[in-house]
Amino acid sequence: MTNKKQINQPPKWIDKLLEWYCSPRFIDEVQGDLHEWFSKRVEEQGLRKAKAFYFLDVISYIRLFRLKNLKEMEGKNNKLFINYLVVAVRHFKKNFWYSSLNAFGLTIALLSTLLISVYILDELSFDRFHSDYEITYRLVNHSPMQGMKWASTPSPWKEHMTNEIPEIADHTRLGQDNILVLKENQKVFEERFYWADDNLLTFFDFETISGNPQSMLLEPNSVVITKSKAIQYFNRVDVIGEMLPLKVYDGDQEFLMQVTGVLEDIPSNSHLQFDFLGSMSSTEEMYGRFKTWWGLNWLHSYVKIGNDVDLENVRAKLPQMFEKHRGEGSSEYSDIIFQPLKDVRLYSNDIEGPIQRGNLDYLLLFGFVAVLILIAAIINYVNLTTAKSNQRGKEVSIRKVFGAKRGQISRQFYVECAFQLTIALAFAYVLAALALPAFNTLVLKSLTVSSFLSLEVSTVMITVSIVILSFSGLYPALLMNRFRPIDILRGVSQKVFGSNSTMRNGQVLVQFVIATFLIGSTVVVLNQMRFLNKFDKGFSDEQLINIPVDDRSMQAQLMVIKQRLKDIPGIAAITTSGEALPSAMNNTSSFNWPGKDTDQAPSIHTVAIDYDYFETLESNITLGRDLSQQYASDSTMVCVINQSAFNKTGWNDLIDKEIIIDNSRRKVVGVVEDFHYNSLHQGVFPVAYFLVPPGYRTSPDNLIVRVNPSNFTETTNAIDKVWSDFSQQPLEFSFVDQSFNRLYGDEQRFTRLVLSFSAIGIFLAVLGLLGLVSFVTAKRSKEISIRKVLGARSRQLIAIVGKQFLWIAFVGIVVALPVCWYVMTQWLSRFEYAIKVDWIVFIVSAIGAASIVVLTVGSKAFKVANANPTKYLRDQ
Amino acid sequence: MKGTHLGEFEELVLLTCALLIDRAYSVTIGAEIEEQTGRSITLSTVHTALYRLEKKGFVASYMGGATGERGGRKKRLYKITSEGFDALNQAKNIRSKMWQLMPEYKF
Repeated sequence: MTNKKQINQPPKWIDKLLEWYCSPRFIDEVQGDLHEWFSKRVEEQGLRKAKAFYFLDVISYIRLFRLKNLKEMEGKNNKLFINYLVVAVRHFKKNFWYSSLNAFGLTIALLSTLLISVYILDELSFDRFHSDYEITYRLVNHSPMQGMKWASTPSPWKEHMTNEIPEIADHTRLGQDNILVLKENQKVFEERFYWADDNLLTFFDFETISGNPQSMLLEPNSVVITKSKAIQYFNRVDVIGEMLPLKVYDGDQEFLMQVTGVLEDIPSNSHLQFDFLGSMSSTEEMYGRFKTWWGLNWLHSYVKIGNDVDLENVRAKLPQMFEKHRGEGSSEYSDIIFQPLKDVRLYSNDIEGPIQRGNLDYLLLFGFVAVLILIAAIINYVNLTTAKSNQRGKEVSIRKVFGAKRGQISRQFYVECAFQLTIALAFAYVLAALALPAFNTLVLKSLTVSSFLSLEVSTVMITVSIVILSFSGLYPALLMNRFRPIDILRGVSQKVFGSNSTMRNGQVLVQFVIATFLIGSTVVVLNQMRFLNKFDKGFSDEQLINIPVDDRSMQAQLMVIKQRLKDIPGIAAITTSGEALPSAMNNTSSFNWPGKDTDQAPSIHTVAIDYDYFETLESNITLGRDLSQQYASDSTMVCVINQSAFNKTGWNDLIDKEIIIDNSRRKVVGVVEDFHYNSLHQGVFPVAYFLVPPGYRTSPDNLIVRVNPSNFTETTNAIDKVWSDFSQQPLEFSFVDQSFNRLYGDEQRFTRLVLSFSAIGIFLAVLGLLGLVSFVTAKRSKEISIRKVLGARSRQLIAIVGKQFLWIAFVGIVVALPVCWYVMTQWLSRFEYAIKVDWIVFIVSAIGAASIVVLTVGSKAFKVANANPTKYLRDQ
Repeated sequence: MKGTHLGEFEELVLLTCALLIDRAYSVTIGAEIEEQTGRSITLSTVHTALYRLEKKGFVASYMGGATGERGGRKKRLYKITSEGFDALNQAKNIRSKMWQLMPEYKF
């Protein structure tokens, strides 16, 4: 019986917790009640559950009126706690500026950590709101021979995979199309339109406002729209049954779609972003032949596979499927990669596709900067606290004389640190809330203040606070305990506060390393961005505009439009092209030529152009000739290839040279200098340029126009006038140079971000460096004065003090620069065209950081060395 | 008005308190509510409700004797006051008045 009773006691430590916070006025009844309740739970639900619930009960009993008041707190073993707080407040008031500076450093560091962790956690949260995200995979179209990966997949996969691979639990697809909404007063071009399989909304967990997710994409001519689009087009949310007329550009067909469902706006942390979902069944007529077309990579496909064993089975069955439907040997050049849904955001850098991606490297670098900022802030805090330790020495000594124990002295400094930390935390949260709108524009996210309070962010902030508290409190707590009270009270020794301790040199070193690293990497990043902006692309993008012509019926009349535009005086040159500028190159074919090694399987991009294409772009034909209207055969049988394709063939000249693109032969008449049709992350691949008449998938669908810089508005007005004769859609165009810059949007955003946080880091590190150096120099003022009395010159004195720091600076450079070099080389390797990491950059940053140290030391030492020695020697 | 308003849970606690003459305290009240309503109860909410009721003057508390099963700890017992009883009655009257006005529903 006694034994049983003992087992059924609630955990001791939870009881302690209760006793710790609960006022003695309540403790008896509360604890008694809780214990009774506990034994009731044990009988009903068993011991383990009862124990867990007991903890919750104790926590939920925390109410303001039940807390101990100040008097009751003093009454127990925390007698001095209040006193510590009072002293902390007094010190804060007494050294207001210095303490504010201290808290300010902490605030800035916590603010940066908060924003960075919110950012990182948001990136990590992508697509995890789908309940099945762990068993959901995106299908990635993989070509093992070329090493290319695409997010777009062909249509027949679904049918065959569903029939032949039973392990696949579910399979859904969606494909983007450009549409023009044809509402009476609203003719709007929309890009975020997808045709979707009927199970898409049960496959994923997008929140529905109205409509049945099971069936809303079932019927042909059904469309599901998001809340904000419903408001845009119908002025209300409940729009089920309304009709939405629209035109699909690619199919050149008009639809009258019925709204069958309304969704909440797609969360910003979804990699799939859309405003409209049309039912896939509507496309039967329009795109019917695509159903069995293996070569058309258009759809994004997603599957659910129950477990890893099934996944292995699925993989094993793939080659069989390809062999069966695509002919023998096809499994060698076709493959499917199953990319886990949670990896889509951060691990898709090598996958071609229009989806916005994040970047793990950036996140890591970001976290790294956050850690550096924190270290700098902690060191600053410790430094500023111990620098004032002289003032505290007497207080601590008196406390010790009156019987304070080591633990109590430590506790006092921890309490003080916690006090400042709390103030800093409060300020950091307030400032972060104020800075959030600006931060959002910087990172192109829509983060909310509520995300600050999410469980993950809170966990990070609490952990960070604990780390700061333990590190910042530790050193002062140890230091203050180290000396003998008698020395302080008699005024004998000052040395105990460590004027040249290794600890302090270590701090200077770390601050120096951080400053050097951040300055160095900032300079490298800036240089790379400038390099990209100035890079010679191989054609002139000045005053060049790109007008996409998505409407199929307009494409047929493209030559007519071009001729009419040509007459506008403000237009210097005009041409048509099957690819926009910049372009990811949408058409890729196999590439062969007579005499090619058979074991190679190169591919080539093809671009439909016009006779005046190279002329308009101002790119150079290096060998042979441009396409010309003088030769009748040029319109069908001939092509121009770029340098990179020419190099691939290994030819020396163009005499009677032909290439085979897929199955058609073309004579090569000219070679054009490689020009960069896309961002400098990639090199230039082989490209063939030739004429394609209207009506094909690859036919020209862009007008590329070089305009005269003067009277630009007049010119665009004239273009608009011609355009409106052919289209209901308002004219949209883009400047090619700006579009190219946007390709680096990722980098630019990242750069701005890293730069701002680096600036904070540099600021904190330099601040700390200044403080430390001036403190250490001040400590040596007696020594300097004595030397001076004995006849040393100012110059010698400065040299003596400076030498110590030059050593530290040297070690710092040796540590910081290799790290900086490594990190920056890693980052630059993402670019096909990158600057070399120059040693000059490093030397500049090292000199920058070192000069801060030298100047501070110099001025301090100079001041002391030139002052009257008695000033520093008198106080003893 | 706010001072004397009777919340839904408070009413339940007050009612239970009235039922359990001489042995009403948080544990018995909580257990009784669990039994009668089938909800699961956190003890602290009962305790807080009692505390509020006492402030409003609907219950009065007195310390009971220590018993062995509570490890010698005293317990605070509650009994309903006449104001409390009036408040319960009032709540009941309002409800029955409204029920009489209820139209006939067929679902």
